[in-house]
Amino acid sequence: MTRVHRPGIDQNGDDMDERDWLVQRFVDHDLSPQERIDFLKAMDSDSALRKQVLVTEQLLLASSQLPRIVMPSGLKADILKQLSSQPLKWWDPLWSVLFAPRVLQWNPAMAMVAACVLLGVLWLVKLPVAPQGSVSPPIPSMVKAIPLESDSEENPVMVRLVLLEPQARSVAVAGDFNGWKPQETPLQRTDEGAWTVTLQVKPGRYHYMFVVDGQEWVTDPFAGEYSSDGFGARNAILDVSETL
Amino acid sequence: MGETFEGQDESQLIARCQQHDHQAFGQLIDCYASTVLNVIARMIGNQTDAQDVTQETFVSAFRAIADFRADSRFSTWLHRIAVNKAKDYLRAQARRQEREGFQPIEEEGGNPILEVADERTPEHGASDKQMAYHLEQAIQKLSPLYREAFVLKHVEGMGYEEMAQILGVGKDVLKMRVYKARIKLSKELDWLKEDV
Repeated sequence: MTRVHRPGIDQNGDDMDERDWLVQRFVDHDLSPQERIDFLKAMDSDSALRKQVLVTEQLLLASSQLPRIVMPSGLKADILKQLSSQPLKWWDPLWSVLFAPRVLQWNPAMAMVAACVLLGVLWLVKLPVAPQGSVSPPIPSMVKAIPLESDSEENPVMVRLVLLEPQARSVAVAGDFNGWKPQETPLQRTDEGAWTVTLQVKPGRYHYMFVVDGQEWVTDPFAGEYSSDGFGARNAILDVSETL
Repeated sequence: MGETFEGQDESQLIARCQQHDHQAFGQLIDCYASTVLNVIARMIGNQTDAQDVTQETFVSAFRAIADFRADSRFSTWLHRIAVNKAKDYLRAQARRQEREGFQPIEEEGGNPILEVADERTPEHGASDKQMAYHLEQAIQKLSPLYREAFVLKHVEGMGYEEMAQILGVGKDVLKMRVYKARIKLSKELDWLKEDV
């Protein structure tokens, strides 16, 4: 039986053979009419194939009939109590208004009007649109792993991690360098809404993630390298030796 | 917008929740908590912790409900939060086990999904209760990515379209995960063939 591997779909090292592939598509009603007839003919003369289909169907039936876990009677009350004990801050609605994602609808006429208004405002306040002789450097939204000092490769290196997360109430970092204990390495907020921490680590490669508001694990969006964490997200990799 | 709650449709309830109405949110909890709890429990394999994660899910949902837009169904949006919370739990658990060494759930005082039905391996067929028990065990042995896809598809009965919106993964990828999960489960429950 030919091993079937479908590149680009899911790479977990688990190939399925052609028979498995056909059985699964048959069960999902995913075969074309001709494929279905060919499959039924094959099933008619192949008892092992017939058994495989029956086992799969039985598995799916049993799965749909698994006992439901009953919700504990106090769960709803606990949730509402927690909501009441932590009332919304006065700025929460403001944050929601300011940072809620929105869909901007536009058309060329609106864009031209907006451009004219902008040019008019610039002309009124006489702002230089493109100052001559100086070009401002782009402001990085993320600065990561800046080596501050290092005596030699064997000595610890000071690195700074920065995450721009102005809405966060707290940010910590968990990684190989602190035994994945976010409580040990909180970041400090700057006035601009960035969160920073300076670490002292030995040269090497470290996997890490940020933890926002004590519960949300966030991958460093600007890390140089990543690795899968096995749960569909990615750990960022800090390669200290490469930053030297 | 299929659900109706005491004369109000879901969109009206959500609008009230966006005005911080706890009573309206209570009605949404009544409607969805059971499904959310079941999804989370089967993703993390522990009923006791699943209750905590369900609680976290609803608290987060209430805080974020101002951001909810009607471009997806509320249940899809809520399940997305639930799945992410369950993944956070699994990540934290994996890291804790890595740090402290693996400890079986039972030793940590957890509560597995189903009580032991009958430890005897059936020689000829299985009762529904035994089948459910062994199936729950086999589901827990799947990798997290296969497990979440299989649970949403075949335990919760969702379609690939909704699963794609919840998990943020393409339908073809999810289909492959479901197929592979089924094959693994079939092999794990090989003794079922005696019953066929």
